[in-house]
Amino acid sequence: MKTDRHTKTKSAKSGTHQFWKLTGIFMDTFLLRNIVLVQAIGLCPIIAVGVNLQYGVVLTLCTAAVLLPCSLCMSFFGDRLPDWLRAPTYTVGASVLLIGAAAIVDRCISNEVYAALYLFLPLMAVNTIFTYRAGGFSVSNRPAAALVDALGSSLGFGIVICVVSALRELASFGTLWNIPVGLRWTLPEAALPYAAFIILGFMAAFLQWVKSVAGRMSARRDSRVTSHKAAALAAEADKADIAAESEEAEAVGLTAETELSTEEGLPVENDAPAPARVESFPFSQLSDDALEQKGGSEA
Amino acid sequence: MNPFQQLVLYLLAAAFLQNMVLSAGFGSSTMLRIVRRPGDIPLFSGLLGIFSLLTVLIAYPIDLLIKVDPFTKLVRPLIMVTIAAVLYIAMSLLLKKKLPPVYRRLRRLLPLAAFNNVVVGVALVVNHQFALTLPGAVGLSLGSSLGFFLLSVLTAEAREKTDNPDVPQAFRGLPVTLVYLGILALAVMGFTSGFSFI
Repeated sequence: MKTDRHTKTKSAKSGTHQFWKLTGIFMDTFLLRNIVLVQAIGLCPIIAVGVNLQYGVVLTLCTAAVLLPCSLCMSFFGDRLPDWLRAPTYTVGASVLLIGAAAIVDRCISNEVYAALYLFLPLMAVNTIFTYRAGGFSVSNRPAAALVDALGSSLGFGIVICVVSALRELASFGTLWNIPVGLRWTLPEAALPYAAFIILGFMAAFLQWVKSVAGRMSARRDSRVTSHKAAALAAEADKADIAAESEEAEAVGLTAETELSTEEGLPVENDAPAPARVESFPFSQLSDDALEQKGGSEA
Repeated sequence: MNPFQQLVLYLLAAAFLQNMVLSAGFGSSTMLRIVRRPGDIPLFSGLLGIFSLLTVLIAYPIDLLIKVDPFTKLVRPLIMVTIAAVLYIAMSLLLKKKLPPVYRRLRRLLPLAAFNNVVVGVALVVNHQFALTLPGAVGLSLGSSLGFFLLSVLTAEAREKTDNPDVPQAFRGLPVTLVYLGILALAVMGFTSGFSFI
C-alpha cells in the first residue's frame, strides 16, 4: 500500500516535471529566446515577402505543417543516420512536403498568393529554421521535446512575420488582409527589404528591453526574499542565545522572560521551513551550446 | 555583348548593386551567424561560391530541358534542392576520404553552405523572371557569393564598432546589427532605381 502510494507520488512528480520541462522548451523558442528576434533564424521570408498579412499567415501554416513532421522524424531516426546524410534527409524531406503545401495554396487558397510566394515557399526547405531545429535540436532530443520545440519555433516565427507583414502592409498599401483601413497617407517604400530589417531591429530591441525589466524585477524580488531569510536566521540565532542565557540563569536560579521576536511578521520557530525561493522564470534556459548539436549543423 | 562581358556585368551587379542579402534577405540568417566568428567568413563565402556555381552549372541545362507546365513548376524547386543535396554528399564523402583534416575543419560549415537560400535561390531565380544566358547565370552565382562575403566583412566590422556603451542596452547585439543592415539596404537601394533580380 505504502509502496503503491509512494510510486504514484513519484510518477506524478516526474509527470509534472516533464510538463514544466516541455513548457520551458516551448516558451524558450516562442518568446524568451524567440527564433527570429533572438536567434536570428528564418529572416529571409520575413524580409522578402513579409509585405502582406495573408502571406505571413500562409507561410506560418506551411512552416508548421512541414517543420512538425520533419522534427518528429529527425528525432526518431536522425541519430541513426551518418553525418553526411542527415542534412540532405531533412532538406529533401521538407522540400517534398512543401510541394504538397504549395499545391494546396495554389488550388485551395489563392492563385495570387501562390504566385507571390512561388519563389519563397519552396525556399523554406533550405531555411535555417530547418537546419537548426529539425537538423540540430530534434536529432538529440526526445520526440515530445522535438515536437514542442517545432511548435514553439513555428509560432515564434509566425508571430514575428505576421506583425512585420501587418505593419508593412498598413504602411505601404493602407490595407490589412487586403481590406482598406482608411489611412490618410501611405509609405510605399515600406514594402522594400530595408523596412523589414529596421522593424525587426526595433522588435528585437523591445523584446530585449522587456526581458531586462523582468530580470531586474525578479532580482529585486529575490533580494527581498534573501533579506527575509537572513532576518529569520538572525532571529533564530538570537533565540538560541536567549535560550542559552535563560538556561544559565536558571542554572543560577534566575528566571528570564523570553519573547520570540518576529521580524516583519514572520513567525520564528525552530522547525520552520525556510521561505520558498521564488522562481521568476521557471522555464529551462537553453544555452548557445545546446544549439550546436552533432550532425554538422553547428555555427 | 560577348559571354565574358555578360559574366562580369552580372557578377558586378549581383555583388554590389543587387546584393542578395540586402535586396531579398537570401542568406541573412546564415550571415548573422557566420559573422560571430570572423575567421570563418572567407572560408564560408568560398564554399558558398563553389556550391552556388556547381548548382547553377548543373541546374541550368536541366531547366532548359524541362517543359514548363504546372506540374514541373511545382517540382522545379525539389530538383534544385536535390542537386544541392547530391553535391553536398559528394563533397562530404570526397573530403572525408581524401582530406580528413579539411573535412573536420569544414564539417560544420558544409551543410550551411550547401543548403542555403543563396545557392538554391539563385538557381531558381536564373530562369524565373529573367531568361539569363549561361555566362549571366554563372556571373550571378559568383557575384552573389562575393556580395555575401563583402557584406559579412562589413557586418562583422559593424558588430565590433557597435559593441560600446553609447548604444542603448536594449539595442546591443542583434537589434543594432539589424538596424545597421536596414540602413545599408536603404543606401544600396539608391543605386538600383527599383530594378531587381527577384
